[in-house]
Order: sequence, then C-alpha cells, then structure tokens
Amino acid sequence: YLIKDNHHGSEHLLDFSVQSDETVLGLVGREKENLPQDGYLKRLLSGDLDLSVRKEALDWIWKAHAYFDFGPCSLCLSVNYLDRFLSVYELPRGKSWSMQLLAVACLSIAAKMEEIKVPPCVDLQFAFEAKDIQRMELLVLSTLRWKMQASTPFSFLDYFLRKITCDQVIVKSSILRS
Amino acid sequence: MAMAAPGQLNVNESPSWGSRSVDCFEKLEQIGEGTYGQVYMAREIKTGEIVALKKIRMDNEREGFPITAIREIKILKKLHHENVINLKEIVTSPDGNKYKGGIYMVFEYMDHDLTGLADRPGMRFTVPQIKLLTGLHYCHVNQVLHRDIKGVLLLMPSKDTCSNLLIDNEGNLKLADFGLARSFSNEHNANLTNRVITLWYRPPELLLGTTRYGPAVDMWSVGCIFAELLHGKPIFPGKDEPEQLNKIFELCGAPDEVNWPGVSKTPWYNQFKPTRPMKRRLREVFRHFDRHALELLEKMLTLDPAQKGQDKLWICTCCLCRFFLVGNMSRSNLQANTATLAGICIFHNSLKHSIWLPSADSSHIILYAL
Repeated sequence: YLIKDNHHGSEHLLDFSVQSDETVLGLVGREKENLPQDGYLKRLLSGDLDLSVRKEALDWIWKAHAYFDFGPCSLCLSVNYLDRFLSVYELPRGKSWSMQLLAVACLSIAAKMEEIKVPPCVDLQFAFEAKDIQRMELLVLSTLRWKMQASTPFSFLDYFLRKITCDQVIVKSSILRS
Repeated sequence: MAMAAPGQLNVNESPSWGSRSVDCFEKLEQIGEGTYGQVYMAREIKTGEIVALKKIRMDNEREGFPITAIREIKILKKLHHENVINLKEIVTSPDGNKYKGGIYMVFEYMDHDLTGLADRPGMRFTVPQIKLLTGLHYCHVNQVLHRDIKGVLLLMPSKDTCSNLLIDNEGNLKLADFGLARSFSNEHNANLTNRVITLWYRPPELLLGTTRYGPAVDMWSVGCIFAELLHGKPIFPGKDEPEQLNKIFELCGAPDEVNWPGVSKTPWYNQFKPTRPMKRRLREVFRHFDRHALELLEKMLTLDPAQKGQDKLWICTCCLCRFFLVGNMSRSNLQANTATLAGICIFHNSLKHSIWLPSADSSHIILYAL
C-alpha cells in the first residue's frame, strides 16, 4: 500500500501540487540532462561562440516576452532551449539572421509549452516568414531530442515555499504549546 | 498499480529517442484521423512490432509547429500508466529536407475504439469503465486535465468526433488524444481556455465561460458517459452551445445563486440564463435507474463545480470503481446488480483517505491509502 501522511486533512485531498522529496530529487536529476553540453561556457568565453550575438538574442527574447506579457516560466525555457541548441548545433557563421530566427523559434516553442494565450508564431516578430519559423522550430525540437520539459527555478519554487510555510505552521503550534 | 509522483520522468528513454527516421517503420494502412492528423498502422522493420503512427498535421504555417502537438507530447512524456496511451517515440520523415518533412508520433497499437465495440450486443462495460477511471485518476494525480473525454455509445455523428478511448484485443482500455489536455495546479488562479471538451460532455461552468476550472470538468464528462451507458443514448445531445446549456438546465434545473453561488458572475450568464424557471428533473427522468446509480449520478451531475467538491469527487470515483466491479455486467443486470453500493456508501468516511482500484488483471480490487 502506498501510504502518505496527510497533514492537511481531507479538504486538501486533491492538492496534488505537494511535491514529495523524491519528486524533487528526480527534478534535480533531470536538471542535469537538460543543460547545455559541457564546455559551452568555455566556448563562449574564449570567443569560439560569439557572446555578443547571444546577448542580442536574449535581449530580443526579453523584449518580445515582456511585450506579449508571457509568464516567467516561458522566459526561462526559451533561454534554456537557446543555450542547449547553441551548445550542440553549429549555426552558419556570419549570418546574424540565423541567430535571430533561433531566438524566435525558442520563444515560440516555450510559449506553446507554458502559455495560455499563444499568438501564431509569425506574429511574434516581423522579420521572418511563417514557414521559416516553422522549420526552425522543428530543427530546435529535433536537435534537443524533444526534451522540452527542462527544470527551471519555478519547478522547485513550490516545494521550497511549502517547506517554509509548513515550518511556520510548526513554529506557531510549538509557540502555542510553550 | 503505478502511482507515479507528480512530475515523474520517463526513465526508460533510449539514447536514440527522437532522432530516428520514419523509414524504420513500414506503413501498412491508414486506420483513422486524430484531432490533428492521420493515423497509420505500421510495422517496425527491425523488431516486427506493430505500432500506430500519428502524422502531425502542419497545414497552418502561421502557427508553426502545432501547439496541440507540443502539449500532447509534453503530457504523454509525463504520463506512464497502463491505461494511458504510451508514446513510444517521435520520428521524422526524411523526404527532401529533413525538417520540411513530416513528424510522426509512434504509439503502441490498439485494436479498437469504443465507438465500434459499443454496438455489439451483450457488450460488457465493466473493464473499460474501471480502466477509464484509473487512467483518469492517474492523470489527475499527475496534474493533467484530459478535457476531451468523449462518449462511447451511439450515433457519433462524424469521423472526427470518434471516441478517444482505445481498446486492444485483451480488453485493455487506454485514454488517448491528449491534444487538448493541459496541466493544472490546484490553486485555481490560472486562467484556462473554456472551449474544450466535445460539446455533449462539456460541463455547465465551461459553457458559461468560466476560465478557472479543475478536475470537476472531467468528472462531469464521466457522469454524462455513465448516464449514457445506463440510458442507452447520449443525455445532452446539443447542436450548439445555447442548446447544450438548455438541455442541461432542463434536466439538472436552472442554476441560481442558491444552488450555485457565484453563477450570476460567470461571464456568459446573462446571455444564456434561462428565461423560465426550470426544476431539477434528474430523478424523475432517470427513475428507472437503480437508486444507487441515481445517487451517484446526482453527485456527478451537480451544477455547481465547487459542490462536486474535492471529497465528493473522490467518493464518486471510488464508488464508480466499485460500482462497475460488482458482478458480471451486461447493461440489464448492471442496473440490478448494484446493491453492494449501499455498503460502500456507509464507508464514505473511511474512503476519504483511500481509493479502491482494480488489480492489473481486474480480478480483485485493492484499497490504496493516500
């Protein structure tokens, strides 16, 4: 039998958002799988990969993200996709549009993963045609082997918040007791 | 019974997952159309295994890679349960440019959907119903609302509304078609879209424009299907949204601030509110049902989603599991054979912290403490 201690009483029976310690351990394990390849940072710092181009791409993602009023989770995911993609795929040199296209595709996929209202990807920007964005999305999805559910700080937030608030409850009750 | 913790991962993914070509499979025949693409029966050349290939339709370039496909992949990678369809891998077709070609989702092959099977005389609903609930329960435990559970019985009007409950020849049932599914958290502060679920099985809160909803929406659908099984035909076959609401009000009574506090604040209430008083006639219309079945139905078809409250939702699920496990059930003795439910109802309180689920071979049930 699977027995869990239920502190919260019956009214919280369907409160699935309580993450167990094992779930969080699992998330920590998966976090490693969904990070850029080793050596990515070194390549950025050594100039093998152009840091300023990456910065430009992130700036664009940041602005578009704010413009469409997306949530914080999709921002984290977009950046995760971008870095993971750059760490395994060589974009053609000297073609700055390819980086812009990549940024659009990453934001578009992240929005589809997390957002409620998702504009058609072509409306995210003005530079590219729909079919090019769609192809780039496919390239990103398959290059990242369809592993789009990366851990972000938000995956852990709930767990830690609950730990903190639980502790407060305990503190209160022990104050009462004393 | 696999009771995965929320967010459990697929640990069995092979290193080649997501990188193979559709050429690894030989297409045998087209077997249907899903929400957004054709489905083929195919054989994996290396192993000879029969699978279903679902081609992702990408007609709408403006949208890019379809959001329904992204959501379905996201959710299926999260769910691993014997009653939820298993996504084996994703393959690409290499014709011409690799990334211009098709994308296919590879599923385990299932022999039937429920639409076809339900026409058979003497069809036994026991196993499928239980399985539906265990699959659904598992989805809820993993914070996924299916949002598109479709009817299983008669008169499904066109091909694209066919059932998304699949059965293999051993009688195993799986929930499929997660294109409309999404994750939820219990905080209910997330706004969700209200245009989900096939019209006939859509609960009143969605028809009234609510964008904050929870597991109660799936429970309404199960209630509709439950009644359909006993009644022999769909109970709310509305043509459009106003007619759908009207059919619901005719049977379940008109909502007001007494039986559904807050209903007048739902977005489309003024537009759709009933023009004349209507009484709840559920007990009268379904008086031929077994009284325990009726009790259950009363709970599942409660207008106010908050009153299908969390405890009650669990009790419904528990009772329904038990209900369908009693005896050998053709439709006629389904109604006659439910006396044991009375016993179950006495245990309501003890059921609060536990759930009955059938064993893997459905020969007995196990009480899971929560």
